[in-house]
Amino acid sequence: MTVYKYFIKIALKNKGVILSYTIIFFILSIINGSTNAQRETSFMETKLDIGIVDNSGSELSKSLIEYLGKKNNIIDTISDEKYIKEQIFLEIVDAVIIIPKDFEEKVINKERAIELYNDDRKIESYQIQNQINKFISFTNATYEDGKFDLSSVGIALDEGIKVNLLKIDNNDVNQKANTWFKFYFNFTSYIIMAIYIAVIGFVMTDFINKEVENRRKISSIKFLKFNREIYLGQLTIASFITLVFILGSIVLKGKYIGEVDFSKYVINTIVFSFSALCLVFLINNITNNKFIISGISTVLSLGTSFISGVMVPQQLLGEKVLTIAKFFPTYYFVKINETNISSFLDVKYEIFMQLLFAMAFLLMGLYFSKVKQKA
Amino acid sequence: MIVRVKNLVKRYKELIALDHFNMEVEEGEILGLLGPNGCGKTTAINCILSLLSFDKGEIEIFEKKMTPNSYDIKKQIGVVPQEVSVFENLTVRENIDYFCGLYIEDKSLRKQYVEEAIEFVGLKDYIKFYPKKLSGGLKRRLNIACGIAHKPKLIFLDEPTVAVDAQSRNFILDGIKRLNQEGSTIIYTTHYLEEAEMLCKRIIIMDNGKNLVSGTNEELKAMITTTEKIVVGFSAIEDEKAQKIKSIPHVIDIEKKEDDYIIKFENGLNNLSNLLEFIKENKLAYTKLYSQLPTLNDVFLELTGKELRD
Amino acid sequence: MKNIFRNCIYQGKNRYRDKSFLFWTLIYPLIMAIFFYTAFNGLIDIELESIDIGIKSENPIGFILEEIELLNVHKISEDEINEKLENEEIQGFIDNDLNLLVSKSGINQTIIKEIIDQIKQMGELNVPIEKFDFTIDYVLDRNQKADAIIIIFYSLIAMVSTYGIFPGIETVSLIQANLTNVGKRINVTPLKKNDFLLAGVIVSLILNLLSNGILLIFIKYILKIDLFTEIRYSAIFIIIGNLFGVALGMLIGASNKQSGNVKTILGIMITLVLSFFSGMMSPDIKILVDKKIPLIGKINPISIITDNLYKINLLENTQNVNQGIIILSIYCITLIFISYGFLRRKTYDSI
Repeated sequence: MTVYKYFIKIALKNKGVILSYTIIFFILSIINGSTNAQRETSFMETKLDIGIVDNSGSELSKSLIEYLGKKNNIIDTISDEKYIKEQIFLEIVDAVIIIPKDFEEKVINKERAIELYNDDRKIESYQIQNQINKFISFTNATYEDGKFDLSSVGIALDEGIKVNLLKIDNNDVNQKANTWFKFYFNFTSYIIMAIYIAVIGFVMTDFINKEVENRRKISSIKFLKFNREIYLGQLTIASFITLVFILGSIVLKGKYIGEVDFSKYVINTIVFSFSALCLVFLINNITNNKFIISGISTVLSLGTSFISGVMVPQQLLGEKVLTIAKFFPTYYFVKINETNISSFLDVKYEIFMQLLFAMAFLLMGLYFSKVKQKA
Repeated sequence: MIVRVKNLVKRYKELIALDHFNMEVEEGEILGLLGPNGCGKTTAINCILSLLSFDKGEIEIFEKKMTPNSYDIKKQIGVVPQEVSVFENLTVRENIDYFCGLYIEDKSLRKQYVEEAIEFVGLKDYIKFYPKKLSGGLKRRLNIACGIAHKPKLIFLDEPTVAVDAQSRNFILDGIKRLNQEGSTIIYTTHYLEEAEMLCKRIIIMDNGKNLVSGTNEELKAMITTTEKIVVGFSAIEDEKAQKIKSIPHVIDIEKKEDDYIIKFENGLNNLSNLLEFIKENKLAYTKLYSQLPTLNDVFLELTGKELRD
Repeated sequence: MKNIFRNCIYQGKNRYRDKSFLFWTLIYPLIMAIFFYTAFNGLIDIELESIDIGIKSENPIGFILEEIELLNVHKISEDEINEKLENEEIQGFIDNDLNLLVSKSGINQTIIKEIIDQIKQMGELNVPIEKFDFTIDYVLDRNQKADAIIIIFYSLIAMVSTYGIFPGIETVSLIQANLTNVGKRINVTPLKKNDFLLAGVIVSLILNLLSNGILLIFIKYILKIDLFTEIRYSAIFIIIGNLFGVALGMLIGASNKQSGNVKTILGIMITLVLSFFSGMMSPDIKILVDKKIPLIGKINPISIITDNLYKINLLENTQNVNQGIIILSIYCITLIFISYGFLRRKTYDSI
């Protein structure tokens, strides 16, 4: 087992790479997970953060502000366009509304009475717009003899429908926790691929390094035995890395694993790790140049993550991008994480595809190693 | 005196790398700094060149104190470090031109010097090559060219022939002689005693950071008691008789090495004929018999009790 | 002067012939730009997503709901309700008594609720229905082109501007006798260390600015994305980013005795992490970080460059740029000072 021991020893020398990836990953997961993942027991309306500048100071504007204040959190702002835009850009506020001096007049004349700064690509902008229009339409509906009936409007707007939260028995998935696990494991694919290629790739370059190669040729260890120990070493390192991330999820959100489909995530991650390891096998048979390997590690792990929906959800990606993504196991890995399954039969195709990729990588790796031996 | 080193002490934590090391170099000579690997040769050179800090001692080059800022001294020195020290992505010619340009500002003079250096190390056919494309021996030659192109008065060569094929090695050694003939003073470190013997006018032998002895080749050999060794292979001899060899005049020791006897003599006359007479008297038959003059290895062996090469 | 110029030429040659330098400063940014472009291209023009709701076919307000553009109405049967809610095929189910059933709280569910609320509230107000006029929009939209996607490109440019790290590391290695053989050799020549370093910094800046230029040209003319409206301040930030990179590279190079390979990876990792937090991989991460630990965004140099490029060019706001410039300058000066501390030693304790 000398080869095996030596392999592990060199691999652990690259702990810098492993550690830096791992630390960033966990920092991010902790930040992301700091919100409460408790199961919801009742429906909560989403409140937006809005800023209001009231240049009118009229009764009408005050009751508008009062109404919006009930539905949202009011954030301080000033009447400066640049400042407002910066606040929106920095996501300090979702929207800022400016009530003009001649607010009442404009309302009565059914003109555009409110200036609204927001980010119209976000669904939140619809909500604030809807709230304002609703309030003004209602007050206008009560306009008679030059007066609004603001108190009736207030009472009417306090009315609301009943919202029921879907009844859940404890076997059902806790959506909030599940969102976290999805994010966590999707991201794991990026980290696993980057670390595998970098660390195992680096160690293999040391091993395939000519000098070592020659020494091995004359040493008494048989080729097969040598290879067996190397692959055992790779498997050990890979399992260790994958285990760290699976355990990480338990450490961070252990109390929720009963409320999500944890076994799905674990099995999926193991299958993915295996195909990633096969990819590393292929890469090692193509090159043993450290510089190329660190390039491939960064580009391939980032690239596949981008197009497969790790960074941006799959449904937001273009058709063409997804077509390309289907040529990498990451796509199927993410797909499984995104699907709510009742049994593994629901995702048998995706699991099969990941294993198929693993086989393909292995075969291609073997082909390249044969080509190399002949050369 | 071109270089004067007095009581140089350098410590690495526990280890004492240089222990009151002394060295003086005369203008125009080739001084050999000889010693086994790890004896402090390179450390000494690095201290002299102000690369390394040292704990005690004085260093003067051209009768001036050497400091990291002694640019006027550095201008007249050429250094060939132990490792090949060139830019990987500059060609042979560019490398030589770059380093030469750090000394020689005049463009046409520099051009001439660079050409001469290329010629000198025999890299004419390789001027457009990148260092990594060169063989080990050629890399060494480039390493030398970069250190000597500016025709320095004083040249430090730190084991320039390590891991070099025989052909390049002879080329390099001849080159060093030529440099000396052209007027450069040379300080040459090596652990190959043959090189030192062949090349150097004066030799300093070091071990464990100290200078053991210094002098010319002959002076060094004269220092030791064994001046002649005669190796005899007897066809048959009893131990008793072998012990009797000691009674021959001037014999100081005998040593059995496999089937051969190495008989060491101190300074004296007619050693060989005395031995032959002894053989005749005792009716001994021998298969071989030859006399060896002492080498620097013997000097080292007698001074330290260990072999120079390990 | 002549000496520095000659050093620039040779160091420049030595640099641009280095394949790993070419890859990280030239090819890698282009690859990243292509990734971003392909991944986010669909996103750049995306409109608001509509919200899926479920009703039974006989729902009394079904026809009203179908009129609302934002809603996507699915008519489903009783036994499908739970499953579709769980799988998030619909965000909410409205029963015939106008009760809403949801699987979780969220903005989409809140919007559905408010729409249904309104129907109930109208009845509550006691005014004739014809008095309501929902065709009028009282809101004057002053929307900015808030574009979360484009921030990714600013972030990429910010990251690449700091790639002077690599030549920075190399320059320092080449002059340190305890790091490289060339360093040993140069230290025994009459060349002054400062001259070599100055030449190295100049070369690093020129080469990295060139590669930044190539990336910008690529983004503008090949990917056809317009990023810059305010050239002057943008240039200041890119240049200061370059300076920061070179200074950081010098510190990485001078502060430890790791191999060049390790240092390069360290450089890549540092910039990748900083870019990551500035939103390069996903704008959501920037939003997340800014919300949870706003300090990171304020002190992360790549965030500072990214945010300022965005503000200057998209929001046309140059009000607080000085703050960013000052923080970055402080970084540069500090880094250079510390590196110089490592570099100024003339002799080494060990080589």
